[in-house]
Amino acid sequence: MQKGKGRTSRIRRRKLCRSSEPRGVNESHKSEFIELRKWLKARKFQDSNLAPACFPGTGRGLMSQTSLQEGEMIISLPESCLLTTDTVIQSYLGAYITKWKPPPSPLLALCTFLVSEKHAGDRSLWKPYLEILPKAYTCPVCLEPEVVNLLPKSLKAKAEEQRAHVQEFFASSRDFFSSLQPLFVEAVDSIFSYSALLWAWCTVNTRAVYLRPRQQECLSAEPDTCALAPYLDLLNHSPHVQVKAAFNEETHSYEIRTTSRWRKHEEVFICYGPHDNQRLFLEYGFVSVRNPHACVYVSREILVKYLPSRDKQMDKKISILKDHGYIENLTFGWDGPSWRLLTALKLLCLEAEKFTCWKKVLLGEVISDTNEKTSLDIAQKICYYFIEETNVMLQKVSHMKDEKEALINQLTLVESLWMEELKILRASAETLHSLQTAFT
Amino acid sequence: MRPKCDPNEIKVVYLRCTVGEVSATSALAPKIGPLGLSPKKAGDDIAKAMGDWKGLRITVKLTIQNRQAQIEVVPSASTLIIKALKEPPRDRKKQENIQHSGNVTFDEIINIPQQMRHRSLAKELTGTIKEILGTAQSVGCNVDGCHPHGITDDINSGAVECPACDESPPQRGLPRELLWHSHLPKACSVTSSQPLVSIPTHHCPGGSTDWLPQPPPLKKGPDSSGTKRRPMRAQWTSWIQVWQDHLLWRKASGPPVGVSSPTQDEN
Repeated sequence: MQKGKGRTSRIRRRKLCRSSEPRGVNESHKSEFIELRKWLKARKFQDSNLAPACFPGTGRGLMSQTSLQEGEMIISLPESCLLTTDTVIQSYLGAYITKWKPPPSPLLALCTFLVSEKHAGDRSLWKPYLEILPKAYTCPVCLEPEVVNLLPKSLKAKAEEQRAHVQEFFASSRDFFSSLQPLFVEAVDSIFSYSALLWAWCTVNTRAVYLRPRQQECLSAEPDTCALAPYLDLLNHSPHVQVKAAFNEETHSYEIRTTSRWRKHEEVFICYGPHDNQRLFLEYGFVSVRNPHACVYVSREILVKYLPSRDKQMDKKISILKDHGYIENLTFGWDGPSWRLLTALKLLCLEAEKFTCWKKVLLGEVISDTNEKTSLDIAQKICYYFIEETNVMLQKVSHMKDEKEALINQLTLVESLWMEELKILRASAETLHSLQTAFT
Repeated sequence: MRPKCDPNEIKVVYLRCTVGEVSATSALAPKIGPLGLSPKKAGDDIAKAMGDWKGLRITVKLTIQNRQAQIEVVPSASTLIIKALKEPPRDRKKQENIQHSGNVTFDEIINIPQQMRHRSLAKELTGTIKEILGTAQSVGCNVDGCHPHGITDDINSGAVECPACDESPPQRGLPRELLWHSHLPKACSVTSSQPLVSIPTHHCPGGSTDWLPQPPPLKKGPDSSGTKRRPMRAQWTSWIQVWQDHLLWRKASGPPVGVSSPTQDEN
């Protein structure tokens, strides 16, 4: 009898291979998920395809219970389970929203509803859903200022903008909150504090799905495209999958269909959109590893810094780039510097006598070998500068991790963002090197 | 505010370009460059994906998601015919204004309408085939050795058999109510029970039955040979109803002298 050919040895071998892959732990036995399922069943939603689970890399997510084929429906949530501005207007807040002039925005309506329902606690109809929501978020607006200082420059500027926007949102809504005093026993200032509003704002920003905008008369003219979907928002993001997600008018439910296959007990992912890491971090508070859409942005100041300053036509060239839209969105990606970055550099390196051919440069034609070579050299210098800067920032982050233990989660997130950028820059440097050797 | 799964993040661009040629990138650059894509890479992707369309000018649909593009061909009648001609690849700059005077077999002509059916305005497949033959005439090529117009005449006279298509004709523009109320017989299944012909309210007891509508004629067309004839329930249903009412009235008022009850023959 040969060794290792029977059923038992096959099972043992399979266990050895599979145990190296981390598996998700099913969490549907937890009380909050049981309550949520009961609440959804009362609203006519039952699902046997998915189960909540905890996964080692991505945290809480949804695990598939059966194998799903391409084109199959993952989840179909009826309209009664969605939290939209319709729900808010039909609730006890509706009268106050309709009375308030100027009309509040749809976002304010949703945030107010969330805060007041959270305050109501057990008396709230939406309690099972609110129990599932995270208590704290990792968007840049929720991070400590010293952590925000360690972010890349472009992201730091956007994070500051986001923080200012939320503070202005809070300041402008205080009068509306005071008008809601008749509904509550306690003072509205203690209920609708900045931290409560921040929590509600982050919930809507990170968990809302897109719904076709419908105009409500009592709300302002801002597009009303957000809807909160219980259970559905437990799905995590992966840039490598494609899904078709839309509200089906015929069945009055929000449906998601997958275009990839899922094995049994695998985590099911959807695609939030083709976002790069900086946008994912800004809007949703996480970073995706090996994101094909990820890139490193090059700002105008960096471009000009590496160009010969004695060029008299520099201003003219920069204004040409601005007119044709080649000054924004210049990036280094996984396959090297983007075409727009190289074209912008070629135009900026144009010699004075060849300046009249700038139109051809913008169309992508080759003017001269020296032009190509100079632009590639400058791109490489910029790439190396970015790599050095990234290494310095990584050192700073690890330094701060040793000093401040309390901020370790936030700092790990920032560190993973910088690590991804470093990987992209190294890949770009290699591509540039091969492009340069083709010219010499 | 960035809600998840926003369909507005995906942009669709239609381009007309020549596959596989170097000058294609300069045609793509003004359209694709502002969207953040690399025209060189897009041109290479198009050449790789559309290998069998090399050298032809085709319309390409690019679905762009944040610097990544998916490529699909939008088929048009002229490109499909020129592809079926299987001409040798030529240098567009050296040979200009060439005549497409090749020959296409009839089987290939049958294949093309099946791909283009969803964009055709015709009611049946024969109509689409005639549309493609018209395009072949514009291109200037021959079908089975003879002029495309000759084939069109043959189809009209029924000399040439065309396969029927399986799916129902695409609903174009007119809503169902309007289709029903027009006087042409429509072959799609009808759920309304209104009669096509209005029942005359004035019955003359001793009169002849000439005022009653004649049963609808059995239609024999070139597409009926060898294929399932679609039942024209619409017209027959209305005709039967009118006759039934007439018979009821006759029963109520007694049969007049000299008039025999018509037999209902159902096809």
